[in-house]
Parts: sequence; structure tokens; C-alpha cells
Amino acid sequence: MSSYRDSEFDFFLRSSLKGAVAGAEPSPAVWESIERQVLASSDRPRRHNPLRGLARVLKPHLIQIQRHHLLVQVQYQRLSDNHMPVFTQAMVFPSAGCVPLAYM
Amino acid sequence: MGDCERLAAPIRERVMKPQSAELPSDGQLVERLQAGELEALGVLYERHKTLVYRTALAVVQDPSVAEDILQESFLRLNRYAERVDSTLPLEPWLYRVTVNLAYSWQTRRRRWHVPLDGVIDYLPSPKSNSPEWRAEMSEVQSKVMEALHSLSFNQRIVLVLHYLNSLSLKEIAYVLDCPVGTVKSRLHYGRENLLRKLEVGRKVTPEMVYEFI
Repeated sequence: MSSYRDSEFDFFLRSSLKGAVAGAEPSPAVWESIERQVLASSDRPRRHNPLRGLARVLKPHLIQIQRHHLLVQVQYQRLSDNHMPVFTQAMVFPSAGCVPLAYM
Repeated sequence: MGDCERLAAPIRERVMKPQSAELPSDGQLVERLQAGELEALGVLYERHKTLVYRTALAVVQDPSVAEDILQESFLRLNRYAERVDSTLPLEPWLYRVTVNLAYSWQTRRRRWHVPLDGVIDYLPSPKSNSPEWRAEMSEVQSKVMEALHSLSFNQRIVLVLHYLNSLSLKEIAYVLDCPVGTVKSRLHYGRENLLRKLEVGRKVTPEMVYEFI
């Protein structure tokens, strides 16, 4: 059924996949972000943070929205000493208008 | 766990042996990371970032998502360093985390896809996914990646690990934590499906194959 000999198609697949990602490198900002988060986590005691849930809920939306080249800003801060959120805000700025958080 | 031990045993000595007099092995770096040295994480990141990033990129085909996966992989390495066996090779562990994160991304995207469609109607017209990255590919590479992305996740990940990362069937089975027979089956059907999609699209001719030879 194949118009290729197996070895040729295997070679073609291997070459195409390697070629497609060849030279692709992550941005230096990735390590900076890792370093920042690791340092921040080592500074504070580990405890349950309900705002992590917010980030988990928002993230898939942000991934979708970023694809449309929108500027997305999400801010959330650590808990205060009495375990209450200090500040929580999520904003989305498309090129025209603003998507209400309810739509996210 | 017995299978994992057996598969990892032949390379255990290589892992613990420094790659040169100056460079510490992955195992030694993991031990330093377990002792709380951030510098060790930095060295491991520099050593493995390309492998993780390109694997994630081939699977999810979105540079920004691939960077998220890369970041989360090394945050997990730091977070769960104490659970990592420094006598075993680190790469399979990183592959496992990368695959799991890519799978999570895929399932979350599917779950939110429908409600977001309504929002997207009101937004500026969507552009093609990651145009800069796509622009750097040849037409043939782009068609292959497109066809690859249309496969099921299970077939796609096996093809990426086999053809991009050159892992053997046994190594893929270890990474995916499934029997070798399952890997063989997914590789076979994934390859057949890919071949069929490329042939049906009539985008790749045998002549194009020879461009790579």
C-alpha cells in the first residue's frame, strides 16, 4: 500500500521531525522565571494556597488567548499572614475592548 | 518497578560516572540539588533544556506552550528532587514529566475549547498557530508536523520519542510506563496513519523524500 520503501519513509519521518524543531531554543526568560519561582518558594513556608487554584483555572484560557496575540495580565499575590488573599485580579486586554472575566 | 530497574541497569554506571574531569554527572547534580543547591538545577537545565523543549514543541506544536512545559518540568525537578533516584538516568524522568505535562495541556485545551469558541468570535481574526516557528519550516516539514498533530496523543508521542528522540521501543515503554507491545502497536498504527494522511493530501511525493537523502 505504500509508495515508499519502509526505510525511506522512516528516514523521511526522522529527518522531517528533526528538521522541524532544529534550532528551536527556549527563551532565556524561561530560566529566569524558574529561578525566580524557586527562590520565592524557598523564602516562604509551604502551606496551602487557594490562589494556586485560580492560576490552574486561568491557565488554559491564557494559552488560548495568547494565541490570538492579546495582551494578558493576571496578577495574584501571596496570602497575608492570616491566610486571606491580599489581592486578586485578572485582566484581559484584546486589541479592542475587554473580555470580561465571566467569559473566561 | 522490576522492569524499570532491569531497563535502567545497563546505563546506571554511565550515569554515575562524571562525563569528564570537570563536568559532574546528572546523578551527582541531582544529589547536589537534593542538598538544596540551586546551581545544580541550573547546570541540569542547561544540559537538558533543548531535549525537553524540542520534545514538547514537537508534541504540542506551540512554542509558548512548550516553554511552559519546559518551565514546569524543571520546577517539578526542583520540587520533587528528593524522590528522584540519582543512580538512574535523568532523561527518562524528564521525558515522563514532559509527556505528562503535554497530555495535561491537551486534555485541558479540549475541555475549554467549546466555551472559548464563543469568545473567539468577538476577537480579532485568528492567525495561524505560531507563525514565526512555522515560517522557519520547509513546506514538507510543515505538512508532516500538521499530519502528526492530527494523530491521537498516544500515537503522536510514540512517533516523537521514536523518530525525534531516537528512543528504542523498550525505552519508550519505560518512559510511558506501558508494555513494549503497546508501544509497538502505537508506533505501527501511528506510522500507517501518518503515511496515509500524507499520501491522501498528496503533499509529499516520493521525489520529496529524496530531498532529505
